[in-house]
Amino acid sequence: MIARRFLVRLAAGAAAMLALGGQTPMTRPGDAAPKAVTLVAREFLYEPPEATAKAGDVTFVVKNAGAIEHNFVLQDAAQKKIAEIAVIEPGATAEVNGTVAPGTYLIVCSLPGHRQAGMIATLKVAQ
Amino acid sequence: MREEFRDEREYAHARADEWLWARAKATGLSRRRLLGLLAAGAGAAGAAAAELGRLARGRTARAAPATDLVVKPTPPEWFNDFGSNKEMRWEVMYNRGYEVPNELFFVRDHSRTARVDQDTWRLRVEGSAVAQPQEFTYEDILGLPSVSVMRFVECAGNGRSFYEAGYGKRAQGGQWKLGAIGVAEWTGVPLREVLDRCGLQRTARDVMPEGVDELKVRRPMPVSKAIADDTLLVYAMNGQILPPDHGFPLRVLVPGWVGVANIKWVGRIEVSDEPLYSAWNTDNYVLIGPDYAPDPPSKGPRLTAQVVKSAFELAWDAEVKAGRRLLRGRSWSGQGKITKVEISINNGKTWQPANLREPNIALAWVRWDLVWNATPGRYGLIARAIDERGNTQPLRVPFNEQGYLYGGIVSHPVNVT
Repeated sequence: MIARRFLVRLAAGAAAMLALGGQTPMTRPGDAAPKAVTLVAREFLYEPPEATAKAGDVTFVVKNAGAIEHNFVLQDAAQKKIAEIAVIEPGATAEVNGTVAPGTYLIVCSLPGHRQAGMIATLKVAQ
Repeated sequence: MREEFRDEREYAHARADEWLWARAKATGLSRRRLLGLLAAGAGAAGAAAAELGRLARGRTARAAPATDLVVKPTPPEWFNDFGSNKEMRWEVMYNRGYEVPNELFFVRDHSRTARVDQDTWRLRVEGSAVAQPQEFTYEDILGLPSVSVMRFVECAGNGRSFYEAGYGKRAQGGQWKLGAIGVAEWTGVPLREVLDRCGLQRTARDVMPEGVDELKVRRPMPVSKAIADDTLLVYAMNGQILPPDHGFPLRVLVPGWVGVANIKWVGRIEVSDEPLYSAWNTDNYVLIGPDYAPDPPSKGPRLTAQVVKSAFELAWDAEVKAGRRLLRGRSWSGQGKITKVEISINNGKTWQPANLREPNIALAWVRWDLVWNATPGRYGLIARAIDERGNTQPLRVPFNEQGYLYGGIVSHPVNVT
């Protein structure tokens, strides 16, 4: 997990370097946007409330900065589940991969009452 | 224990009286004033309780900062810490009385303990199956007829960690051992009394209490359970004003049922002539797994009564000195009185009956003991109980994703030196 998180960070950093004109063997042409979406969950919201990603394979990295359990469910416009992290303990960071097409998705915490209390965010996916 | 106290009703009445006297003394209410209230006729005990309730004000002012997850101190000698959930360590119950004292009682909060101002708090009863929807103040509730009962409250997921031990697969949720249970004497108003005052209709089907906590935790029960004699709106626990972590000012007691049904900080009750659902009986607190079929709109069978369990009053991975030792523990069932408990000190090879101690109250628990001539070595101690309906503790329980109702036998590790 730590190694994967490190790679995610490295990839994000590499993408940033590319955007600044740098070169690195970890990037490919067209990799200008990061392929990781990082979210923070707490009582009772996600930050940022509006996330963005590019179409394709995306790694969702979710940190629970709250004091109680939360989770992460990514749904498409038809409410079909695209990706899920069943439980994220307080203080823990977990990640999951999902493939997304251009459009708008919902991110919710599916633990009872959490969504209604405000744990809902959107993910906008660009081409 | 006085002989007549073996009758649960006698015991409950006597304890309710004792509670009133003790509260009166503790809060400075004169004996004459209390007698006056008691002599005033119907509802007098409630009026006396109301007086005590008024005197209890200021309690919330001394509470922990509202940012803390729970209010009461939960030192590691008494509790295993799971954030907003605190598991009682069983060794603290060794040689204790029947009830779990309030300060040792486990805490299971879905978010954090709600801090409720009793002056502005109201209980609203409404829905399609009550003719006169009404609001009740705290003092209205204290003025209604009350009873006291001994019952357990137990988290639906108590014992969840043993699914991982048995299946190598971790169920979702706090990894309790067996300490997410407690027995207390609960004092309050039968829910039926409140429903009747709101004109409960014959067409009523489901009753759903809802908390005023930040998640508005709510879960329905059938009207037949809601009007049972011992289904209560509770305002006192073990003779003390209900503590914030346990639902102050008012919680529901639904005897025998999974903990989540016993809604804390209740502020609203919906009574409907249609079936009611919430996320707490459709998505969670249902059995999801290969052995359970979905039960729309729920993802699996909805949990109601608890299963049979047993626990030793010992630390987990206990260290015991060799010699003649008295093993002690408790067994309980959500479906009736425990009739027999057997103990194995050799991981299930041989069994011997434990001595059951009075009182043995249905939907509470029974204490038991057994003399053990402990010789040095590693042991797996197992207790296995059976209730009056023949429910017992199997070797294995089918896995469910959220890890509820672990009613299987548990091997308790003990090292004798």
